[in-house]
Amino acid sequence: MDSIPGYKLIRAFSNRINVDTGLILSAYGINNALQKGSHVVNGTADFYVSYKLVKTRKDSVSLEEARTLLVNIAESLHKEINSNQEIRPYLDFFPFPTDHIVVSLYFVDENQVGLGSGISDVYFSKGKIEYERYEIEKYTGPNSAMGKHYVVHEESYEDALKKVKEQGVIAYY
Amino acid sequence: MSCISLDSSGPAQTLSAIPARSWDLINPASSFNPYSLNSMGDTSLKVILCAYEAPQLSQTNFQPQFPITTLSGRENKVFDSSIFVDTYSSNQANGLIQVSSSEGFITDYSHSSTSSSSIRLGEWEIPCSASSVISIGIQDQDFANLMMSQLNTFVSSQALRITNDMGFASNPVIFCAQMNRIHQSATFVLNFERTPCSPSSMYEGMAVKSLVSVTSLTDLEPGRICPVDNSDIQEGALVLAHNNSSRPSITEAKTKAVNFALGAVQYLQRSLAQMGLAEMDIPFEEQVQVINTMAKFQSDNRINQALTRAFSVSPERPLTFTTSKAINAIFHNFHLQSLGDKIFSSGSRYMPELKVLGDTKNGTVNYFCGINNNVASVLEAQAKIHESLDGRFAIKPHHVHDDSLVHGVSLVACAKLGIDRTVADYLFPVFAPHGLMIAEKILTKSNLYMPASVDKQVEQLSAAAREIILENNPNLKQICVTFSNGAAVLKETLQRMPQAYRDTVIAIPVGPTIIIDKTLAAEVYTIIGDKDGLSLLCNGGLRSVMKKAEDSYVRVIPQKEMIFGGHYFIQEQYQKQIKTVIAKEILPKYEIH
Repeated sequence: MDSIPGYKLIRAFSNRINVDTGLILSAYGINNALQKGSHVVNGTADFYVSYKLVKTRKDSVSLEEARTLLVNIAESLHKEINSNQEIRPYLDFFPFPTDHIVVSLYFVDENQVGLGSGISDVYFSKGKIEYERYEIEKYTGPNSAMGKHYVVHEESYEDALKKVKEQGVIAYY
Repeated sequence: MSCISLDSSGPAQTLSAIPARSWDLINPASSFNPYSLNSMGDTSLKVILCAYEAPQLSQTNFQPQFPITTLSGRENKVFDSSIFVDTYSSNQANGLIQVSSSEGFITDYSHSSTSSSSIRLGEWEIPCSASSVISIGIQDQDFANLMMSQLNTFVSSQALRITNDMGFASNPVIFCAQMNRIHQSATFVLNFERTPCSPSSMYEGMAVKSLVSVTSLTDLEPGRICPVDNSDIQEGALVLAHNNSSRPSITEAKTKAVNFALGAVQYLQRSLAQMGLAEMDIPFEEQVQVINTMAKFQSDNRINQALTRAFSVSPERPLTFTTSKAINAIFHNFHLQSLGDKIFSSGSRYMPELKVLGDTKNGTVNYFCGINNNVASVLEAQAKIHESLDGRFAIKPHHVHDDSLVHGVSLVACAKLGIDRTVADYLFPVFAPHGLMIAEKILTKSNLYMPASVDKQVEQLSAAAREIILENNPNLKQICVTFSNGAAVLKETLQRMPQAYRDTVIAIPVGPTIIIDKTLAAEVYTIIGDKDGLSLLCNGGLRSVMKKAEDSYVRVIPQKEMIFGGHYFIQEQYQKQIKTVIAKEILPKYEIH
């Protein structure tokens, strides 16, 4: 599978950031955001990565923490894509824009159940970031719960990037 | 609109009155037909299968031009007309089928209105765009071949397509034609099946078929339409049952095509005669008691009701052949020979129909299970996906595989070889090593081989598609999540549906054994684990998946587990990804039906 350049890049990148962030790659893909009927030019029109971060049930992730983490991941991946010589012939765009990168983060407890306090999910796609909470009604088992996800905050990627930079917490992995 | 007419009361008028774009399947005046009117005289059989193209349905003041005799208006019931065609349209027919005998056994017909999507047929209102199912039982090989050939001619002349042509191998022959026609794209899907029973058990098959026919005529689900009067059919069959000698002599042609009801009755009579019960007079109360008793033991309400109705007569005219043994024999044959799915081309209930979980108010997500799934497994998966989606959507499970691993693997292999599900279900009991099947049964306590009707899935998804189309909301879609070989069933289902219907479907194949081409649905989001060995094996590896999916919509799930460990539906990674796809990619663009 690593013979697919986009996959290779994602996996290498994910392995690297795992050391610093503890993020675990949970899903990935390329060209997932292609509109029906459109086709890739060189082979890679967009990247999709989804990570999970394992915490404990009593942990909570604030909106600022989630924003910082997401922006840092997106920026790092963006930089990786544009600096990687191997992937370049396969990119449909160069420099590769951030709005062709989709990043999803979710925070789970040690039993793989979404965190019930603070932010549980962050989703960045097409220049927009959504932050979600997971309101757990009840735990239905050691590894399951019933509850509802709902969006608590939305912002543009530009705004988020600006805030992170202003706070001086931007980091490249 | 389409019709099959068995009418000797004026073929020329009928044909000449058919509009220019209509078609005739069997033209007695022109085709070489040994059973045609010309060769057989006035009492002979002729079959006219005609249809009006969809645009004509939308014309105003459209009136049928061919002679019509209402079923309710006729005095003499004719069940010796050599061929019995039962018609049951699901709530979708813009094509419909009419049946008539030489005495004018024809259903009332008129077109209600134009824009509408409905046709008035006698007292029934049939919504347009639809699927009509014609089931014809033909005893004779030559006659069956003739019918087949003419159906083929029609289909090719209309540039339509035939799926699943099994041909006719031996007597008796039952073929089911399913016609799906939607507004502007006429698609004619023929589904040819033959009974699994041997020639010696011909009447058994016919008996069951007859009962099923009666069932389909009497136990219409809401929206299901039958253009033939139920009570007439039952009564006619019972009259024949009572008084076989009253049948008028029939021509050679007619003997070649025995109607189902007659076949059933003959079988019953023969069986009862063998039991020495043919002349036994059973009090009416006892008949009712027997039927009620049987109903308690049988889970198939359709059959129960069919039997109840078929054998329910007035106290003034009790039947002579109804005994518990006879009813038992019918049930025994039905279940033993697993004829349920074989003879139902639509709406089979042989595979358990599982209930929807959750509130359908926000929409329903369909779930097609993989192989080696018993009811409990399917329900577990249903609950899991319901939980993963925060209980927001109702989950409708499609139990399209039994829990036999041997059967399941063979189905996967057949799907990879391009053999469709119906044929695969036929082939399995023939080619599967019986020792292996028995060993599996003993070791795993799995259910015996159970076929599944893809047509049922077609019907269910088509019904939803029609509702969506009627909503006139292009963003309204139905979601189908599949796991493993459920993707193959969904793919086959989609292939049998017209393009307009496919465009209402969003497919999310998870760990699929086969890649659903994105042209088969509005959207296809394939989710596959990178250690899902079974799925990768079936698809030739991840690169092959990418290639087959044309670079689109493949989400790879990193896994640690290997082979079997990576191939299970309820794993968190798969569930999370399904939720993400639906919540973040589908819902922003579409509404869920």
